[in-house]
Amino acid sequence: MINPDSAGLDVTASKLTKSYTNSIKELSVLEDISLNIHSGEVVAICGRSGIGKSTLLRIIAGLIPATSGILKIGGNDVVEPTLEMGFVTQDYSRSLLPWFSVEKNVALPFRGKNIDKEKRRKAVQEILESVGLTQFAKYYPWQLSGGMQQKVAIARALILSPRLLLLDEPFASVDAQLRLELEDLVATLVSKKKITTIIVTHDMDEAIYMADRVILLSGSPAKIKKIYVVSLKKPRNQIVTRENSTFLKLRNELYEDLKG
Amino acid sequence: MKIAAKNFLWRIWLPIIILGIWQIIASLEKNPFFPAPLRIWSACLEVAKTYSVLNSLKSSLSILLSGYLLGALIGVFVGSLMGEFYLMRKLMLPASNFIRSIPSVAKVPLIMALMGLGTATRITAVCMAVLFPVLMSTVRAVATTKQELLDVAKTMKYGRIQGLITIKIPAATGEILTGLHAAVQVALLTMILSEMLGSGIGIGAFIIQSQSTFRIANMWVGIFVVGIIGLFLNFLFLKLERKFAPWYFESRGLN
Repeated sequence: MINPDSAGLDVTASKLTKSYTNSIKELSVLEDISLNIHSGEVVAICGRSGIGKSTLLRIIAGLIPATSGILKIGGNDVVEPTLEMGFVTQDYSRSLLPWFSVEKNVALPFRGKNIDKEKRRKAVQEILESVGLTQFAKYYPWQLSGGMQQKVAIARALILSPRLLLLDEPFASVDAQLRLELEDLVATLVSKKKITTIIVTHDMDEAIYMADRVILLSGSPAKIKKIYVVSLKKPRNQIVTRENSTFLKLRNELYEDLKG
Repeated sequence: MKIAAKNFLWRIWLPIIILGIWQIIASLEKNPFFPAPLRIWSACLEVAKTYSVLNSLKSSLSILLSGYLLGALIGVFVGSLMGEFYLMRKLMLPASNFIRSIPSVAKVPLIMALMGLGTATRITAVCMAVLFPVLMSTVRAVATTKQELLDVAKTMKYGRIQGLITIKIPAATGEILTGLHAAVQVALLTMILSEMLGSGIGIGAFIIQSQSTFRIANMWVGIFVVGIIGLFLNFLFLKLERKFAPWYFESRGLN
């Protein structure tokens, strides 16, 4: 594969800021964001809607530049997206290409790169199997349900065996039942290969359930208000974990902090 | 089979009633400019036997096809580049806008003055009529690719041209096809007009000559032929749209 050394990348941010300037005034979105994410760690970024969570994720992805501060991934400065990184957005219906079949969508990262055909085919087959879409390979995205489409997007993000996976509200547009299934699917895939994962979500329960650490953003411009360590053991279970007293305590704490 | 027959009946009941009423009124009226449908039909059978008329039809269709394809190809190609490259857009958009704003019908006399009355003139007229609306809709569609898709291109490390070919142009297919569909009508109109204005051949010329020599039924035949060509092209485009951008058209098509 493209990334044979598949240990997760570490992410270091120091005093990141982001502001937008238009002709009238300067709008500051993020301020003084410093964090260290270790290799293989799963971190959730939480906060109210519109606070700048996605902006932070897009900066980490290299899709937009920070206004100031230092950002290093795997020890290198971030200037643009790299192939060691997988990115999944909330809006699968907009990020999948409707003119390509499921297998072609999943193979998209291979395009224009010099990779053996047989290897490609095998990688596509493997990744589709891991998300349970093998028999839908020839379908088009718009012929699938929302949850299945998001699985395609996840498969596409994982096909090059990324060392960093960035998820922007990945399960916000699927129904509740499927949401739990997708959470477990991602958790399994990510822990198997020790991929460093950053997941942006406004759902506190999901953040705690998925993450080793939860980062709460608040204020305007947004700052890191608090970082919570989730000591729940893995693999987690949708029923058992969510009834665990540690889970509930953390949940209460997060909700209190969000209010205050 | 039964369902198909039923569907067909639903589609044609109104035209049949209109033709029926027309037949009755026309046979009572005896106005030479308003022949009955059956009279037009017999004129049609007669006209179809004449070699020169079939030749006219063939000439018109080949002009329409070559002019249209030429205009469509240039429009989509240049439009895509203008959609992608900001500087090109900035330099060329105002002029394109201006030329497009002149009705294609008004451009025909100019093209004739410059190029004479031959086949090249007719092709150019149709081509110009198609080119600009197609170009504009392509520019708009390519330049407004959704952010999510731009992110995809960026995270896949696509270069500019690869992004344009793999993502931006396919994503614009729906809007480009809409532009191409709308251009059919303008192409037809321009073709007819360029033939009426003195080329001497083609359906447009046939209509105008029939009218001026008082062969009114023949004139009606010409008009119907144009209508049928338009109907067929419209049908063709509905099929093309479903074939090449089903995700875009399936939810908004009329049954």
